[in-house]
Amino acid sequence: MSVAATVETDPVAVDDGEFKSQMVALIPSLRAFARSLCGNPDMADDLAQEAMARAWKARGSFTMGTNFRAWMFMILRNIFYTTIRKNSRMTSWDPEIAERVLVEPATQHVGIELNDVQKALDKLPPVQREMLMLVAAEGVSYEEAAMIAGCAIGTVKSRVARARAALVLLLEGQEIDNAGEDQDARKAQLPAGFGFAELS
Amino acid sequence: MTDRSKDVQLSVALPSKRLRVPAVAFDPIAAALQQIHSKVTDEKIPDDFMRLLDQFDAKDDSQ
Repeated sequence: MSVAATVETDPVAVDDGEFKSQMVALIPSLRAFARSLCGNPDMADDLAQEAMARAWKARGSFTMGTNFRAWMFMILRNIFYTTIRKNSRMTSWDPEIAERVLVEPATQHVGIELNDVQKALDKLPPVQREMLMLVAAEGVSYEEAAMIAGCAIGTVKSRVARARAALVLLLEGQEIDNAGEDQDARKAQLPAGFGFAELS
Repeated sequence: MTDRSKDVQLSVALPSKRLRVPAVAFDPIAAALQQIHSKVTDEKIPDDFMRLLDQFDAKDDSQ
Protein backbone atom coordinates (compact mmCIF):
# COMPACT_ATOMS: atom_id res chain seq x y z
CA MET A 1 0.00 0.00 0.00
CA SER A 2 1.36 3.39 -0.87
CA VAL A 3 0.19 6.95 -0.94
CA ALA A 4 1.18 7.30 -4.56
CA ALA A 5 -0.79 4.19 -5.44
CA THR A 6 -4.06 5.65 -4.21
CA VAL A 7 -4.59 7.60 -7.42
CA GLU A 8 -4.23 5.66 -10.61
CA THR A 9 -3.50 8.52 -12.95
CA ASP A 10 -0.38 9.55 -14.76
CA PRO A 11 2.07 11.38 -12.49
CA VAL A 12 1.51 15.11 -12.62
CA ALA A 13 4.52 17.39 -12.55
CA VAL A 14 4.86 19.26 -9.28
CA ASP A 15 3.96 22.91 -9.49
CA ASP A 16 6.12 24.75 -6.95
CA GLY A 17 3.47 27.34 -6.18
CA GLU A 18 0.79 24.75 -5.61
CA PHE A 19 3.18 22.62 -3.58
CA LYS A 20 4.03 25.55 -1.36
CA SER A 21 0.35 26.50 -0.95
CA GLN A 22 -0.47 23.01 0.22
CA MET A 23 2.48 23.11 2.60
CA VAL A 24 1.39 26.44 4.09
CA ALA A 25 -2.14 25.13 4.61
CA LEU A 26 -0.74 22.10 6.40
CA ILE A 27 1.58 23.97 8.80
CA PRO A 28 -0.90 24.02 11.72
CA SER A 29 -1.44 20.26 11.43
CA LEU A 30 2.28 19.61 11.03
CA ARG A 31 2.99 21.57 14.20
CA ALA A 32 0.27 19.71 16.09
CA PHE A 33 1.50 16.31 14.90
CA ALA A 34 5.08 17.21 15.78
CA ARG A 35 3.95 18.38 19.22
CA SER A 36 2.12 15.11 19.79
CA LEU A 37 5.29 13.21 18.91
CA CYS A 38 7.88 15.07 20.94
CA GLY A 39 5.90 17.10 23.47
CA ASN A 40 8.22 20.09 23.46
CA PRO A 41 6.82 23.08 21.50
CA ASP A 42 10.22 24.42 20.41
CA MET A 43 11.51 21.04 19.32
CA ALA A 44 8.19 20.33 17.62
CA ASP A 45 8.51 23.47 15.53
CA ASP A 46 12.09 22.56 14.62
CA LEU A 47 10.83 19.13 13.62
CA ALA A 48 8.03 20.58 11.49
CA GLN A 49 10.43 22.98 9.77
CA GLU A 50 12.93 20.22 9.08
CA ALA A 51 10.12 18.16 7.55
CA MET A 52 9.13 21.10 5.35
CA ALA A 53 12.71 21.66 4.21
CA ARG A 54 13.19 17.99 3.35
CA ALA A 55 9.82 17.83 1.61
CA TRP A 56 10.74 20.86 -0.48
CA LYS A 57 14.00 19.23 -1.54
CA ALA A 58 12.17 16.02 -2.39
CA ARG A 59 9.15 17.66 -4.02
CA GLY A 60 10.07 16.12 -7.35
CA SER A 61 9.27 12.70 -5.92
CA PHE A 62 5.77 13.74 -4.88
CA THR A 63 2.89 13.17 -7.29
CA MET A 64 0.41 16.03 -7.23
CA GLY A 65 -3.10 14.84 -6.55
CA THR A 66 -2.01 12.13 -4.15
CA ASN A 67 -2.25 12.38 -0.38
CA PHE A 68 -0.06 15.35 0.49
CA ARG A 69 -0.90 15.28 4.19
CA ALA A 70 0.09 11.63 4.54
CA TRP A 71 3.31 12.28 2.60
CA MET A 72 4.27 15.21 4.81
CA PHE A 73 3.37 13.40 8.03
CA MET A 74 5.48 10.43 6.93
CA ILE A 75 8.48 12.68 6.38
CA LEU A 76 8.01 14.34 9.75
CA ARG A 77 7.58 11.00 11.47
CA ASN A 78 10.67 9.63 9.74
CA ILE A 79 12.79 12.50 11.03
CA PHE A 80 11.43 12.05 14.53
CA TYR A 81 12.07 8.32 14.75
CA THR A 82 15.45 8.36 13.00
CA THR A 83 17.01 11.37 14.65
CA ILE A 84 15.20 13.33 17.34
CA ARG A 85 13.93 10.37 19.29
CA LYS A 86 17.50 9.17 19.73
CA ASN A 87 18.37 12.47 21.30
CA SER A 88 18.84 12.30 25.03
CA ARG A 89 16.77 15.44 25.43
CA MET A 90 13.70 13.39 24.66
CA THR A 91 12.59 12.57 28.17
CA SER A 92 9.34 11.84 29.86
CA TRP A 93 7.10 14.56 31.12
CA ASP A 94 9.10 17.50 32.37
CA PRO A 95 7.26 19.85 34.77
CA GLU A 96 9.15 22.84 33.38
CA ILE A 97 8.10 21.98 29.86
CA ALA A 98 4.59 21.39 31.11
CA GLU A 99 4.60 24.88 32.52
CA ARG A 100 5.40 26.28 29.10
CA VAL A 101 3.05 24.01 27.19
CA LEU A 102 0.12 24.71 29.43
CA VAL A 103 0.30 28.46 29.52
CA GLU A 104 -3.45 28.67 29.82
CA PRO A 105 -5.12 27.82 33.09
CA ALA A 106 -6.46 24.31 33.29
CA THR A 107 -9.77 24.02 31.53
CA GLN A 108 -12.41 21.97 33.24
CA HIS A 109 -14.01 19.79 30.60
CA VAL A 110 -16.80 17.51 31.73
CA GLY A 111 -14.84 16.33 34.72
CA ILE A 112 -11.51 16.03 32.85
CA GLU A 113 -8.77 18.57 33.30
CA LEU A 114 -6.99 19.21 30.03
CA ASN A 115 -3.59 19.33 31.67
CA ASP A 116 -4.27 15.92 33.24
CA VAL A 117 -5.04 14.55 29.76
CA GLN A 118 -1.90 16.21 28.39
CA LYS A 119 0.24 14.67 31.14
CA ALA A 120 -1.35 11.27 30.60
CA LEU A 121 -0.74 11.57 26.85
CA ASP A 122 2.93 12.22 27.48
CA LYS A 123 3.20 8.97 29.41
CA LEU A 124 1.94 6.94 26.47
CA PRO A 125 4.45 5.24 24.19
CA PRO A 126 5.01 7.44 21.10
CA VAL A 127 3.57 4.83 18.73
CA GLN A 128 0.29 4.88 20.67
CA ARG A 129 0.22 8.62 21.27
CA GLU A 130 0.79 9.50 17.62
CA MET A 131 -1.95 7.16 16.42
CA LEU A 132 -4.43 8.40 19.03
CA MET A 133 -3.80 12.05 18.14
CA LEU A 134 -3.87 11.40 14.40
CA VAL A 135 -7.15 9.51 14.51
CA ALA A 136 -9.01 11.11 17.42
CA ALA A 137 -7.78 14.69 17.12
CA GLU A 138 -6.47 15.30 13.58
CA GLY A 139 -9.31 13.26 12.08
CA VAL A 140 -7.08 11.04 9.97
CA SER A 141 -8.74 7.83 8.81
CA TYR A 142 -7.41 4.46 9.96
CA GLU A 143 -6.26 3.82 6.40
CA GLU A 144 -4.36 7.10 6.16
CA ALA A 145 -2.84 6.56 9.60
CA ALA A 146 -1.66 3.14 8.42
CA MET A 147 0.00 4.77 5.40
CA ILE A 148 1.70 7.34 7.61
CA ALA A 149 2.98 4.75 10.08
CA GLY A 150 3.74 2.11 7.47
CA CYS A 151 1.73 -0.54 9.25
CA ALA A 152 -1.49 -2.49 8.84
CA ILE A 153 -4.88 -0.87 9.48
CA GLY A 154 -5.46 -3.44 12.21
CA THR A 155 -2.28 -2.29 13.94
CA VAL A 156 -3.53 1.29 13.89
CA LYS A 157 -6.86 0.26 15.38
CA SER A 158 -5.10 -1.77 18.03
CA ARG A 159 -2.74 1.07 18.95
CA VAL A 160 -5.59 3.57 19.15
CA ALA A 161 -7.62 1.22 21.34
CA ARG A 162 -4.67 0.52 23.63
CA ALA A 163 -3.79 4.20 23.81
CA ARG A 164 -7.31 5.07 24.78
CA ALA A 165 -7.49 2.36 27.41
CA ALA A 166 -4.12 3.43 28.83
CA LEU A 167 -5.25 7.05 28.90
CA VAL A 168 -8.30 6.09 30.94
CA LEU A 169 -6.12 4.16 33.39
CA LEU A 170 -3.70 7.07 33.74
CA LEU A 171 -6.54 9.52 34.30
CA GLU A 172 -7.77 7.21 37.05
CA GLY A 173 -4.35 7.46 38.67
CA GLN A 174 -3.19 3.98 37.73
CA GLU A 175 0.09 3.00 36.14
CA ILE A 176 0.49 1.47 32.69
CA ASP A 177 2.95 -1.10 31.38
CA ASN A 178 4.76 0.15 28.27
CA ALA A 179 7.08 -2.79 27.83
CA GLY A 180 5.26 -4.22 24.83
CA GLU A 181 4.96 -0.87 23.16
CA ASP A 182 8.68 -0.23 23.44
CA GLN A 183 9.12 -3.24 21.18
CA ASP A 184 6.55 -1.76 18.81
CA ALA A 185 8.45 1.50 18.80
CA ARG A 186 11.69 -0.26 17.92
CA LYS A 187 9.94 -2.01 15.06
CA ALA A 188 8.36 1.23 13.85
CA GLN A 189 9.79 1.76 10.41
CA LEU A 190 8.65 3.81 7.50
CA PRO A 191 7.62 2.00 4.37
CA ALA A 192 9.96 1.86 1.45
CA GLY A 193 9.45 4.28 -1.38
CA PHE A 194 8.13 7.81 -1.51
CA GLY A 195 11.58 9.15 -2.21
CA PHE A 196 12.76 8.72 1.33
CA ALA A 197 16.20 7.79 0.05
CA GLU A 198 16.45 11.38 -1.11
CA LEU A 199 15.27 12.66 2.24
CA SER A 200 17.94 11.16 4.43
CA MET B 1 -62.71 14.87 15.68
CA THR B 2 -63.92 11.71 13.95
CA ASP B 3 -62.52 8.22 14.32
CA ARG B 4 -61.04 8.55 10.81
CA SER B 5 -59.01 11.62 11.77
CA LYS B 6 -57.52 9.65 14.67
CA ASP B 7 -56.38 7.04 12.15
CA VAL B 8 -54.67 9.72 10.08
CA GLN B 9 -52.85 11.11 13.10
CA LEU B 10 -51.64 7.68 14.02
CA SER B 11 -50.35 6.90 10.56
CA VAL B 12 -48.38 10.15 10.58
CA ALA B 13 -46.94 9.60 14.02
CA LEU B 14 -45.52 6.14 13.40
CA PRO B 15 -42.88 6.94 10.73
CA SER B 16 -41.34 9.71 12.82
CA LYS B 17 -40.78 7.18 15.59
CA ARG B 18 -38.89 4.93 13.21
CA LEU B 19 -36.76 7.82 11.99
CA ARG B 20 -35.71 8.85 15.46
CA VAL B 21 -31.90 8.89 15.56
CA PRO B 22 -30.37 7.41 18.70
CA ALA B 23 -28.37 9.91 20.70
CA VAL B 24 -24.59 9.60 20.27
CA ALA B 25 -22.82 9.39 23.60
CA PHE B 26 -20.54 12.35 24.30
CA ASP B 27 -16.91 11.27 24.50
CA PRO B 28 -15.06 13.51 26.97
CA ILE B 29 -11.65 12.02 26.17
CA ALA B 30 -12.01 12.57 22.43
CA ALA B 31 -13.22 16.09 23.13
CA ALA B 32 -10.21 16.77 25.35
CA LEU B 33 -7.81 15.41 22.71
CA GLN B 34 -9.42 17.61 20.06
CA GLN B 35 -9.12 20.59 22.37
CA ILE B 36 -5.40 19.89 22.95
CA HIS B 37 -4.93 19.57 19.19
CA SER B 38 -6.90 22.76 18.48
CA LYS B 39 -4.76 24.71 20.93
CA VAL B 40 -1.82 24.13 18.61
CA THR B 41 -3.60 24.47 15.27
CA ASP B 42 -5.28 27.70 16.38
CA GLU B 43 -1.97 29.30 17.34
CA LYS B 44 -0.58 31.98 15.05
CA ILE B 45 2.02 30.39 12.77
CA PRO B 46 5.45 31.54 13.99
CA ASP B 47 7.34 33.86 11.66
CA ASP B 48 10.13 31.25 11.39
CA PHE B 49 7.91 29.17 9.16
CA MET B 50 7.27 31.99 6.71
CA ARG B 51 10.96 32.87 6.67
CA LEU B 52 11.72 29.24 5.86
CA LEU B 53 9.32 29.35 2.91
CA ASP B 54 11.02 32.51 1.66
CA GLN B 55 14.37 30.72 1.90
CA PHE B 56 13.06 28.00 -0.42
CA ASP B 57 12.55 30.58 -3.16
CA ALA B 58 15.87 32.28 -2.46
CA LYS B 59 17.76 28.98 -2.68
CA ASP B 60 15.99 28.09 -5.94
CA ASP B 61 16.84 31.47 -7.43
CA SER B 62 20.49 31.13 -6.50
CA GLN B 63 20.78 27.72 -8.18
